[in-house]
Amino acid sequence: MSPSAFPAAAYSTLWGLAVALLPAGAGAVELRTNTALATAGYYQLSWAADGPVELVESPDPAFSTSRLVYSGPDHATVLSGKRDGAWYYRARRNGDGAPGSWGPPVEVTVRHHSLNRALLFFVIGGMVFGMTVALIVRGSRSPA
Amino acid sequence: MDPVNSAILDPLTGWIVLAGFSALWIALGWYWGRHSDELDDYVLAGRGVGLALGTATAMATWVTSNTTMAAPQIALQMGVWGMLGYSLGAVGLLMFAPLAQRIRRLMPTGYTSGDFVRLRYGKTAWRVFLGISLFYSFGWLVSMGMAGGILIHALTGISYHYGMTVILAICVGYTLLGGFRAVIGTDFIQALLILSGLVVIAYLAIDKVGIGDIHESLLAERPELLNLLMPASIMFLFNNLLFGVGEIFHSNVWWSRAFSFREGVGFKAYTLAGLLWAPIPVVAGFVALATPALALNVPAADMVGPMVAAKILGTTGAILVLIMVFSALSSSLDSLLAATSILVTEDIYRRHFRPRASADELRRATARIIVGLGVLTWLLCAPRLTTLAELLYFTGAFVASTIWPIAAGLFWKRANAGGAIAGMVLGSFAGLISYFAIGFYVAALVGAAVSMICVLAASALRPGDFAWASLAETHPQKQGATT
Repeated sequence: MSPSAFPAAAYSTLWGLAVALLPAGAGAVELRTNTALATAGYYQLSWAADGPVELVESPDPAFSTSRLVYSGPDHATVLSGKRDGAWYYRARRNGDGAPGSWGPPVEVTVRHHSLNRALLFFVIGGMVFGMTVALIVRGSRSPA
Repeated sequence: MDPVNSAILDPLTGWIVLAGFSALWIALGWYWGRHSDELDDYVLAGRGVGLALGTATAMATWVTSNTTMAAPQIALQMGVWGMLGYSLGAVGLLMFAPLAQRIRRLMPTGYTSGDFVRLRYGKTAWRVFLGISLFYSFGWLVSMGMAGGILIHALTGISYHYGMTVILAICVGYTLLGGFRAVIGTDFIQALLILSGLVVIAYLAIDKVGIGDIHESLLAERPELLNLLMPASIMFLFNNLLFGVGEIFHSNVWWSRAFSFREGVGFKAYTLAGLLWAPIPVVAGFVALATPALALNVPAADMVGPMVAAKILGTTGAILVLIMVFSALSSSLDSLLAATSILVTEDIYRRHFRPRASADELRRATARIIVGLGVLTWLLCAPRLTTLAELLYFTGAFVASTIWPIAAGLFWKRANAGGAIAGMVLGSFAGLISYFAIGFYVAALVGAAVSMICVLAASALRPGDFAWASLAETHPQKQGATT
């Protein structure tokens, strides 16, 4: 089985299992997300840590490639404008000494609403607005 | 744990700025309120507010935590359409202009929006309306108290709870001292500070970062923010418009201004205020789109506006932002405290418990209610349960359901109590379901649509024949019956 055919969810499960079985190393940072499913492309990740941390993002649960999302002393970050897909995050302490070990990964799935649903709401909103304007304009012109 | 560890100002600077402006607002409150002994003077500024002050107070009040803090939040979450959609909030002010004119003409001695609903639809509709209106008022008060705490924490590192306490205490203080005259007077100064600050920030954002860099970094890191077909933001457009319309149509903040303006001022003041307000969310929202270009971490979405501005402008700029947003929050908090206190005094205290209360007693009750509202707001702000936008839009389901009962009630003789009650109850219910089932960005839209159907159906099935003259109720204090 090629790596690409291996389901992302299975990677995630195996990775989570491996992390759970191994003792958390010094400097591991535990991430939390405010939602596991983001239907508008935004979400917040937060963590508790005494010093600066380094947070990375990857489309791959094994983090074969990753992007630095944040490095600094804050305790949360907001991500937005994400496209559909599964995104994986992990963090570690990175103070003056050697970086700590990576904490357990967190997965967030981005699945935007369908465009048809969005356009349906747009049309309903336009109708309500148009009728309200018509009510006021006609009412203002007629005598009290 | 507070999420920010990288505030640009030190806490001492923050405390100095807060102390200086707090002293200024309190002094102005005392100065403008020293002759407000009569009830009409204290709660409606003597019903003689002119065009300049009227426009400034309407605009400044609408520039609130909504605009300065939540507009950048929405731009960060919903992108370009979020930014532009937020400016559709101006439509609420523009649409209220003809309503303000009609309210002033039909109810020359009215005090509250509750008066209108009670006289127009009867007591059941009135009580449903009061429930919605007070719920919304607390939602707005809490969102602004939270915004104060968040802003001060983001810029100075001062704890959220200290900042929130300061802003609530100051606004309660000067509203208590000066009543509605102080609210309108400080609004004028605050409007000037807000407008100048925003223009400077927007100019510097474009000058220092550049449109090209902003676009490239958005495309690389947050591509959906540039997508004009992003589904949630498409849903958000009319939702935000209808939310703004609902807020303005029902809230006593805007009705009390309609009552306080001189005859003929309301239409022009609200129209001008809408036109002046419309570009503000675009400017405020635009700065949030510079976040990736600035490599700025945003720990909470509702902090993004002040954080980007502070990053662009440095220490001096951060002080300017603190002053500007402190002004914006104060101008709305004081208005809401004043308007909600008179709503509670008139519609609950007097109408339900003390129908024979004298004008002096009502004035004293209004002052006590202002303090009570401040304390209750503090208690609700303390746990910081949600983000600003989510809290605000939760109330959207309720307020949008009042659009048609109010508008049809003002213009249609055939609108009736059954339609109004069904519209408010079923509209709120449907809006809440959609809030939880789909998202905050559809709650107001669904609430308004269901409410409109109820009002239309009831008016068609059992048309009423309302006598407009019955809205011109004389307040007992005017009759001299109980004073």
